[in-house]
Amino acid sequence: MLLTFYILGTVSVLSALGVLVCRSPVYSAMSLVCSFFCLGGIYILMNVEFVAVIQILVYAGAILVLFLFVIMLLNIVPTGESVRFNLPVLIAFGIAVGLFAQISGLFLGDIQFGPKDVYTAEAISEEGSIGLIGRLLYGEFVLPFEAISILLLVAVIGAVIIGKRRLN
Amino acid sequence: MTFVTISDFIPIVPELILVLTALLVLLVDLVGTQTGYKMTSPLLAIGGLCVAVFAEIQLFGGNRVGFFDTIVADQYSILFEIIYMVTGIITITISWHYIAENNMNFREYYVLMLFSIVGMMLMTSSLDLLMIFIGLEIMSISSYIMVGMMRRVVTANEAALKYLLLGAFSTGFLLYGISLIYGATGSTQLPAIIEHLQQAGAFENPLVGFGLALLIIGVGFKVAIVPFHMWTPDVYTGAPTPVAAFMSAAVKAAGFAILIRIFLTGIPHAERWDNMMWVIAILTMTVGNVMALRQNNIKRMLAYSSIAHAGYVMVAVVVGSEAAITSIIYYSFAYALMGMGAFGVLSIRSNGKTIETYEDLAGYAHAGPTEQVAAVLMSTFMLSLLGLPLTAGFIGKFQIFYAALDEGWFWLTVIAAMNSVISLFYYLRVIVFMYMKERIGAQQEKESQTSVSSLFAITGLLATAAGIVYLGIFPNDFVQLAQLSVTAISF
Amino acid sequence: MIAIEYLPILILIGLGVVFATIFTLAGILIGPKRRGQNKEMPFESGLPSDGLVGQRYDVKFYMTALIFLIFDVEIVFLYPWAVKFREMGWFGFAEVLIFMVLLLFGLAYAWKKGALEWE
Repeated sequence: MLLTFYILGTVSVLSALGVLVCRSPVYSAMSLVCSFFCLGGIYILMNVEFVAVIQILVYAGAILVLFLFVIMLLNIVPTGESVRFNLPVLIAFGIAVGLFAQISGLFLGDIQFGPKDVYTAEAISEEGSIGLIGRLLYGEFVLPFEAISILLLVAVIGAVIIGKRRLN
Repeated sequence: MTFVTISDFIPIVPELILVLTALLVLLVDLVGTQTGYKMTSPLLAIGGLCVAVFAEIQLFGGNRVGFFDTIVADQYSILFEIIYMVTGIITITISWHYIAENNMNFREYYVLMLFSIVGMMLMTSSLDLLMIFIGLEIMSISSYIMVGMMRRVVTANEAALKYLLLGAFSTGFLLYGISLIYGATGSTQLPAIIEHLQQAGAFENPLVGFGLALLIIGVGFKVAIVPFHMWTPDVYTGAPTPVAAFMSAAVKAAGFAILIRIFLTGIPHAERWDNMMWVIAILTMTVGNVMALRQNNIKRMLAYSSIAHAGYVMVAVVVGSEAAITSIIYYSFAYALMGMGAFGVLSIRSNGKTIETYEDLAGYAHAGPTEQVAAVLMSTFMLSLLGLPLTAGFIGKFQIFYAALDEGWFWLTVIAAMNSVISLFYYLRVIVFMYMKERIGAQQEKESQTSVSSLFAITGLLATAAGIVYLGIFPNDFVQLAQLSVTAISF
Repeated sequence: MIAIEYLPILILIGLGVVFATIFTLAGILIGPKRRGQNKEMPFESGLPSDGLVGQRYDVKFYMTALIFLIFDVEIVFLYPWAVKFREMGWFGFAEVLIFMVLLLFGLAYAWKKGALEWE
């Protein structure tokens, strides 16, 4: 179990790194797919199959297609030039590394997690993750659920109004 | 399973009214003919906002809660929600002519603005970080689209793209912060989180400190405090002027509303990182004012000045006493009025020309009847932004400085006062150009035309200016309301 | 243990990797290699090659994909309801109905504005 987690975690981090270092944006997008699949596997290890399926269907499926469309829309041709290390890039790199070190240091410290309440891994597998999510989504979190429909409606309007060539 | 009942919906009646209005406006857009009915959408939107304000007033003092205690209609949220809606009404009055003149006459504009206000309202009245996040997203996504609505203008596209990318980043920070806080406290509900944070040693947990820091970054982007302000000048300059007005007033007020809810209603004072926060406050004021001094484009100047004003509010956030929170609420409303007014005057064309730089303003006050009124209004807004007595800006600054001195923040107050002096130069420059400079190329001007739609805008701006003067001369009513609402949020 | 239930998937992934490797390697190792100008051309479903691969796509592809994605996410939110709908009865139905009606406005909007047409 722990071994599976470490394998998935390592592949996921490596492919996330691949997103950054690949010169061709299409390769970057494909590395991202790999990273998403590994995350899906980790979700399964955590007994949340629903989130895992969504991760693969929506992220690895639909959102990645969207990314590829954007790449083709912008027509980014790999120039073969490597990243130039001028002063601003170096400063940004230094800040990023420093921040990363500090955050890692924080998490190596004395972390206390809050009470897990009733949602332990056993409770989730007993009711099934979809059932549990349904019970919370349509019960306790009904207002955020309805608010999401407003969010999606706004997104439809935005997609049409920005993307449509001739708007009548 | 637990279900909600009808009584749960009473605290969100104003939100429901606005959602229905927005759907109605959308429906009018879908079934209406392409020509005519140009007045229908803005009037419908204003009507819906007025009804919602009325409903909000009915709820005042009721302290109703709903949705498993995650939605509260206390005085605090009601006051802020009324501020958003008043801002929305003024924005619509200054939008109508602007969107027709700038080839973005889509009725969706009003739909998006209403939904954006709904997002702000949900976020202000919610005690659940999840709902706050969704509300913030509704607000942000609507405003990204509104910024990019002038589809053929390159600067507007640039502004929309910058705002979208940086906004998405800041949302990522916010969400990461929320998840860390959830991990540390086991809850997304603010009362439970604050109870947990009040325990001794809660801040020794790295998750808590890091989570709260990420929340500050996420909200800091929305209210544009230094160093998260980089997007502001470009976005405010590129965006349609009424949208810039709406963003500088309502979006910022909403950001401060949740900043107060999260940070000033129970986190122990010793844990509020005063050292970091006052540095941010000083930086925000100083960068805003000094950069505003160097601008030649007036919208850019107003963008930097809005950063500076966020800095004054941050002073009150640092102080964090009850008087300081009262002053934040007052200042949010006062700034909403004067900032919107200033942008609103810029949205009116003079002789078919859009005012961009100071040179465009030369001789503005003598150009025609519309311009004469507009110049008087602009002067009022500038004097109020400056903080001259008898205006709302003065009372707001006075309250912030008083609250800061009361808690012993002497040097912070001195720096804020010095910043006010800097702002004197660029605000007065506007008035000097309008009244004392000669217009360039005056002979080749057409007859100045006063259209019905710009009269609509002038009416809205007159009401705004009247509000500023009223708040400046009789501040007590509103201050009392603000004090009431401060006592409503738990300490 | 939950991992046992996913063993078949793991085996399937393993088999996929093994077969893909075998066939690719077999093609490289034992296939005959005859080079020529026609064989070096990129394969475009039998048609002659037409320009470079980097062609700009129209923005309408993107818009269609985005609208698809939005309704895809909508389905995600309906899925748990399908599992729980007997328990939730009419109340759950009403909740989902409100959600659907709001999104129907979105569909009607996209339809009326011609976003679903391929202009």
